[in-house]
Order: sequence, then C-alpha cells, then structure tokens
Amino acid sequence: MRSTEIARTAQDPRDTGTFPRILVTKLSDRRAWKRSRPWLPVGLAVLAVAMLPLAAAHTDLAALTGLGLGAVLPVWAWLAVLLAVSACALEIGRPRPRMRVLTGLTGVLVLCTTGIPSMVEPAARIPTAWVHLGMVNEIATTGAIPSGVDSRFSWAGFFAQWAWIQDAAGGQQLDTVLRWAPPVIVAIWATGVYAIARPVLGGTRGPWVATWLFCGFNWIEQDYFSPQATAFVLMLATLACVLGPLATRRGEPAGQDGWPLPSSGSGPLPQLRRATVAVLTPPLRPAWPPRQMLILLGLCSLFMLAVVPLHQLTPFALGAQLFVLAVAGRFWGRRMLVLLVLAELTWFVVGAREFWTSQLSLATGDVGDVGGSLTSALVARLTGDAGQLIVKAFRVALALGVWILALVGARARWRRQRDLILPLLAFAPVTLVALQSYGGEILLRVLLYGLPLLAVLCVEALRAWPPRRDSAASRRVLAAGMATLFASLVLIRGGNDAYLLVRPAEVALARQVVAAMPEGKVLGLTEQGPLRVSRLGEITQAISTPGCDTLATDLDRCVAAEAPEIILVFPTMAAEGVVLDGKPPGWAARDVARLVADGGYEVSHQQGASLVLRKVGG
Amino acid sequence: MALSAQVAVAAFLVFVVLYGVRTVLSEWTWAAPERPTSTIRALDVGAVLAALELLGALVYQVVDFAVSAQPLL
Repeated sequence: MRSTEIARTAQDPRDTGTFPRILVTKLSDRRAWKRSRPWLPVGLAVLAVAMLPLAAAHTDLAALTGLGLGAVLPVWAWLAVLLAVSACALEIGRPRPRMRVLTGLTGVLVLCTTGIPSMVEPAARIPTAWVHLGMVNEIATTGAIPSGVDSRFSWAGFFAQWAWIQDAAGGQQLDTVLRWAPPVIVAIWATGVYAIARPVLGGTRGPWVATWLFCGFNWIEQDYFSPQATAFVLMLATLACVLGPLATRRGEPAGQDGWPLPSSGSGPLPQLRRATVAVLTPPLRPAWPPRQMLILLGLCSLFMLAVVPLHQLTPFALGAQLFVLAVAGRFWGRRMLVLLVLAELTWFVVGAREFWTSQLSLATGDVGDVGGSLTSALVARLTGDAGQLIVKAFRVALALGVWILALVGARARWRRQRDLILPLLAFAPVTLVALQSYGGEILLRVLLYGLPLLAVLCVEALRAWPPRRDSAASRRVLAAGMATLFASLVLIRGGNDAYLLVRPAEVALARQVVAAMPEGKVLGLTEQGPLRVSRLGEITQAISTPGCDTLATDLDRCVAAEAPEIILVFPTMAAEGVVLDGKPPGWAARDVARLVADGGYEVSHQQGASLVLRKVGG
Repeated sequence: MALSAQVAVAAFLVFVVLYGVRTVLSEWTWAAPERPTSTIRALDVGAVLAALELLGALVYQVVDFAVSAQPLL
C-alpha cells in the first residue's frame, strides 16, 4: 500500500485501523519533510564552498587598487557569498530549522565572507599579525620575555601560549595559523554570540540571526592572530555565563522581581540612599543546584583571571560591562568583579612593571581627551584615494547602521519589557574613549566590545518590524538585506588589501635578512609588509625618532637619525603611499634611487619588486 | 622580583583561596537548614584583609618607584 493510500485510509472515520495511526502520521510527516527540500540548504552550502577554489584561481592580486580586494574578486567569490547567504536564509525559513545544519551553515557563511582573503591570498595580510608572530618566535627561541622591546610584552599571555604551542609542534613556523586565523576566530566568536543571544532573545531563529548579524557587521578586523582576539573569546565566554545561567534579577525577599521597594508605611528615602540600598540589595539566586553553580562561578573566575595577562584593554571593557550588570543586580556572583579588579591591579603593577615605569605616558597621555581620541580614531583615518574613501564611507555607514538599528531594537525592548540593560551593556565600553586614544583604534575596539549586544538588539528591531514578518515578501527582503550586508562585508574587509597583501616570498626574505644580521638595526621604508618577524630581542627593528612614524615620513632626516644597517622595501609599501597617502606612483623607487645616489645605501638584494638596501660600509 | 611584589602576589593568591573557599562553602550550603554563616563571614573578613594587604603592597611598589627611581610620566 502506498503512503498516500495509508494516509487516506487513516483519515477515513469508518476505518477500524489495519495500520497503527502513529505509523501513518510518521509517513505523512516524512512526505511533508521531503517536500520541504531539506537537502537544498546543504546543497547550496556545498556549492558555495566549491566556488572558493575557483575564486582563488581567478583572483588577480596584481590588479589591486584603492578599492581593495572587492574590485579584483571574480564572480565565483560573489557567487559563494550569495549561495552561503541563500543556504542560511532557506534553512532559517523552514518550519523547523535544524540546529546542526544551522551550525554548519554558519561555518560556511563565515568561510565564504570573512574567510575570502584567507582563501584567495597566499599569506596572512595584517602586518601586526606578523609582528605578533615575531614576538611568539622571540619567546619560543629564548624561553624568556625580552625587556625594552615592545610594550605588548607586558601582557605576554598570548605570545607565551603560542610559543609553547610552537615549541610543542617542533618549532614549526605558524604562517598557516596566521593565514587562517580570521575565519576560525570569527567562527569561535560566533559560538559565543549565539550563547549570549540564546538566553537573552529566546526562540529558535532569533539567536541565529543575531549570530549572523554579528558576523556581518564585524568589519573591524580585530580577528587576526592577536591577543585581543583571544581575549574577546574569554570576554564572550564570561558574558555568556553571566547573561545565561548566572543571570538573575534583583528582587524582594518574597521573590518578586524588580528594584527593592521601601517597607510599607515608611517615608520616602533620599534618592542617594535609595540608590545605595538598591545596589547593595543582593539579586535573587538562580535555581541551579550547588554543583552547577560552583562550576559556573569557577569557570567565570577562570576566564577573568585568564583575560588579565592577555590584553591591556579587554579587562577594562569586560569590567565596565560586569559593573553595569552588578549595579543592576542582573547576575549572581557579583564578588567576581572584585576578583577581576584585584587581578588587573596586581598584573598592572607587578606583571606590567616595565610598561608603567617607562611607557605609561602612552596610556595616560590622552586620558580625558575625548575630542583627541575621536579625532585620531575617525577623522585621521578618513584619508586615501577615491577607492579608499568609498571603502571607508562603507565602514562608517555600517557602524552607524548597526547602532541605529540597535537603538530601534532597544526602544522595542524597552516598550515590551522595560529593559535597558542590553543598550547599557553595549554602551559601557564607550567609557574607554575617555581613557586613551589607543593609537586611534579605540572606536574600533569599542564597537567590537559592544557588537554582540548590538547584534542582539538588531534582532529585537527586526522582530518589531515588519508587522507581517512571516510573509514571503518579508523573508525575501530580509534575505536580500543579508546578502547585501555580507557582500558589503567582503568589500570592506578587503578594502585595504592593496597595501596589506603579503607574499610568502616576502616573509622568507625578511626572515633571511634578519637571520643573517650579526647585530644592528633593520627597518622598513614604511610599516607595511612582514616586518619584525624574528629576533626582536637581538636586532632593533622599531623606529624611535620623534616625528618619524616611518622612514618615508621624512626620508633624509629619518634615515640619518635612525641609520639602519638594512632597509626593507616591499611592493605593499609603495602601494600604501599611492592609495592611502596620495603619493605619485613610483615614489618608493625614487626614494630608493635617492638613497643609493647619496652613497649611503646600496641595493644588496632584489626579489621581484622587493628590495633589500644595505648601508654602505655597514 | 622585589619583596613588595612578592608580598602582592602572595596576598593575591591568599585572596583567591579565601574567596574560593568562601564561595564553595556559601553555594554548597545555600539551601541547607544550618548555614555556617560565621565561618563564611570569617572567610569574608580574611579575604578583605588579604585584599587590603595586596593594595598596600601595590601602592608601595608605585610610590617606591616614584620617589627613588625616575619620574613616572
């Protein structure tokens, strides 16, 4: 008997039931399941991944312009983005989205968007990642943290950890780790964002959409091989605990939620006293057994202790967010905040002694100078040729867009449940702007630290709009919006690749040059390319003359003041001058020719467009 | 490592241990009819003293450097 007949027989009230009704229902469900084409999202995801090698094979990296990677990516790369987004949209639109499939699709989405540069470029492209690798190499080689080399060595947890891994791996170079770090790290971050969004938003689809929005809005590029990327993982883990199983509310002893009320019959208290009493009133305890509570509190404490020696800024952002939650009485175990503060103080004074005894002005020079911080973070970065300006305008638009959408979501959440804690949490890291300029990157860090909460609030905004969100038209609009967002992400993240592109041969050349030096100083013409990749403690590789950000800033004066034995010139340095600083094409070659003509330097090695200049008589 | 730094690290470890024991005791006996309240309070006091000792050692470190070695900024 065919399944349709079985179903028809089962619907007949006269039927006495040859087959058990449950079997009939299962067969009917299976047919409906097959009709829903469950293989389609998975098939699209497989196709998306299959596009990536084609994209890598057809990308012309030699044609990079100020618009970056987006201008040279072939149609296969954009198809991969479109297919990955379509797969996610189809799966989330199913009557019962499958958890495992959504997990896999999120991985594919990250690979096809964040992972595009890792796929089409031959090596890691952020210069700072190569400096971090040099710091790892230094610890792995010498077994100690060098002093007086780099202030980041005062928070050496990340470098020591990878030095240990490198040593355990037999001393292999971590170039592959560097190359694939961004998509892997964003995938790990996405897990943390999902863990935060699930208890806060509830439901099945909302947390996934929040996760995708986080990935889509994350153009900030702090996900390379860096301490802050690891510290952000710990931050997300802590927030997932305190907003999830440790989340609670302040309440009356009788168990009623809300701020504590004065006793009946008592007169009104002064505002300050009311606020103090409210803050000191303990929140309600979550209904978990002691064993689980202790595991959660232990894990949270461990995350906090681990984040302190990893990164100089993340503990402050985490502390600001936990402080907001503690004052609002929204998590159990508020004493952990004391642990974080004491751990940070101890590390700063004892562990980072070299930093505060010699370079404290780096951190305190901009305290309270909010205008200066904003200027260096925003205005000073909006430079470059037309392509660069387009990419940077996209960045600003995306940053403003996420905040505007999040504010709409905050308003919707406030109207629904009178809850302001999420926008306050997202806003808490903004206090860092008043602390320091952090090399002009502070706004990027602030945006990153608040982004998980902003993504959650964006989902609240989408839930509030449109009124008929289940209609096919609404779904198509949201899917198109998602495709546009992720396409913009690819364009924005690759926007600097004209001067960020690194080739393995350049890395090998830099290593070879530094390895052959008995002692002295090696500098780059600018700071782009794989510099400081090894021997940081023995060879001076940082510029120190005031007013000389790079040698090319003021060639004659800076070269005379620094007098490096070796000057490295990579093609990306020339490209940086053209697309970012408005210099004429060929400026780097002219600078090199001038140095050679002056008789101070000679070209000792040439590999493609990469040059090694050696000091004459050095 | 300077003596004050050693004291600071030791005080921090003592704080972590006291805070940890206090948390375990407090959470484990949360629903118990007879909570060891006096022990928990004693551990609280011990943790606060360790924290104060830690802060003292840290302040000593900074002041010692400021008056003896070189200006901080």
